[in-house]
Amino acid sequence: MISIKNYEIPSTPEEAYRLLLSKKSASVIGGCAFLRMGCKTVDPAIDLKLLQLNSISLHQEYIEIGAYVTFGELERSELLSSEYHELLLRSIQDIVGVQFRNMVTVGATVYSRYGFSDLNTALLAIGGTVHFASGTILKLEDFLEQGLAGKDIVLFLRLNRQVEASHFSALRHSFGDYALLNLAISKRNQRYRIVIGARPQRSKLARKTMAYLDEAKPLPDGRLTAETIAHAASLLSLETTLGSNQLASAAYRRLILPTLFTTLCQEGHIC
Amino acid sequence: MLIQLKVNQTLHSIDASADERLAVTLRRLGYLSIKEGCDTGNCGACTIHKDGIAILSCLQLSVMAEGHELTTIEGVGPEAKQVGALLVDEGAEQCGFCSSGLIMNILYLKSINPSPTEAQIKQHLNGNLCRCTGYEGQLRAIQRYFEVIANENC
Repeated sequence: MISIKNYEIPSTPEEAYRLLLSKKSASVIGGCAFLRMGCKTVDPAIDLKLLQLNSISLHQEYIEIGAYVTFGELERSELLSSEYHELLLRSIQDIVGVQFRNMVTVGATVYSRYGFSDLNTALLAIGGTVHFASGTILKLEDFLEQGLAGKDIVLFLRLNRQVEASHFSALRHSFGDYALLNLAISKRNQRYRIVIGARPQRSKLARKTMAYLDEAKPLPDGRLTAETIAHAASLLSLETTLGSNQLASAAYRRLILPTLFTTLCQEGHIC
Repeated sequence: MLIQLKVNQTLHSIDASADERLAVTLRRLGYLSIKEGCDTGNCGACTIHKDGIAILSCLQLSVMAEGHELTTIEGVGPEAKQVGALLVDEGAEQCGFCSSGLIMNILYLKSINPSPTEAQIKQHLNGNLCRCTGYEGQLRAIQRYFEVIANENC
């Protein structure tokens, strides 16, 4: 159980950031999904509800998603569904239940860089930047890979636009459970982004496979041949580090990865 | 700390610690329909509405609920009775522990999709677990409920 000694509601990002750095035990409060599954003392708990971080807005070059936007709001957003071909919806719609998704926030998911995160895999397939209260701006792939040197607060994400096609897939033992492997693929400006997550390590770009697909000769209708997809699947398997946890062994993940990738390409109609 | 909670249109002032969860506070206020079934946010027995949106009261800090409109099943009596009667009729009620959370989530589904398909009903109710019934009776009851709603709206 997480216990809270003091509760603060700052009025500005600067105030929130100062509070966060004031004590080692300070922590930002998100959706509280893990409220009953942790064991630590938080002092102070920082609630960002006055900072108006719960909007999804369309701009010419990007879509901005505030850190306090919930998975439920992502799910119901017609803007995001049409812009990204339901990629984000597919990545989150099987998570636990609708009530749970109405509480989990985008900012907490991104900041925590959880290995099991389906949303981070989908977000990385779109690409964009993460904006922090300190003024730091990082590419999403860099932040997910490296993290930060110290504590900070995610304020919003800016996601790329003009995604021509995208798809997400995950393999789970049962509905609502953590994925034992997830994959997302997108095509933008004729270039592919392939992301693999829940390895159980964090989501990451499969750069060698992406480079191979970018150079591959397509069919007249723009799609890739079955041979190209098969070769890409084996490349993906070779370049990806897979591990074992209680959900699956590395060997099992390695066995299913090519099939999951091939199915993803076929179902997504983007290869 | 003293917090103000508006529950079923009634404003309450209550002394609660910063880490007290809404499920606990609501039960202290007498809203005993709120049940805690799992401790992990999976079972849905503690479902309430916050500004019309279904959430899990077991994972919501009470202090975060200040300033919002909270609705428990005690506040939607006639509608809840209508759903509950159909659940009983279809044999979908045994111990009753999951029922208030299930009914609140069904009413939330009605607010966002007044004519759901069977697949949409099943998808929506993934967050409500029942150890007693096996879900078939519940599904029949829910489908009948939406038929009744559709006829009422004609």
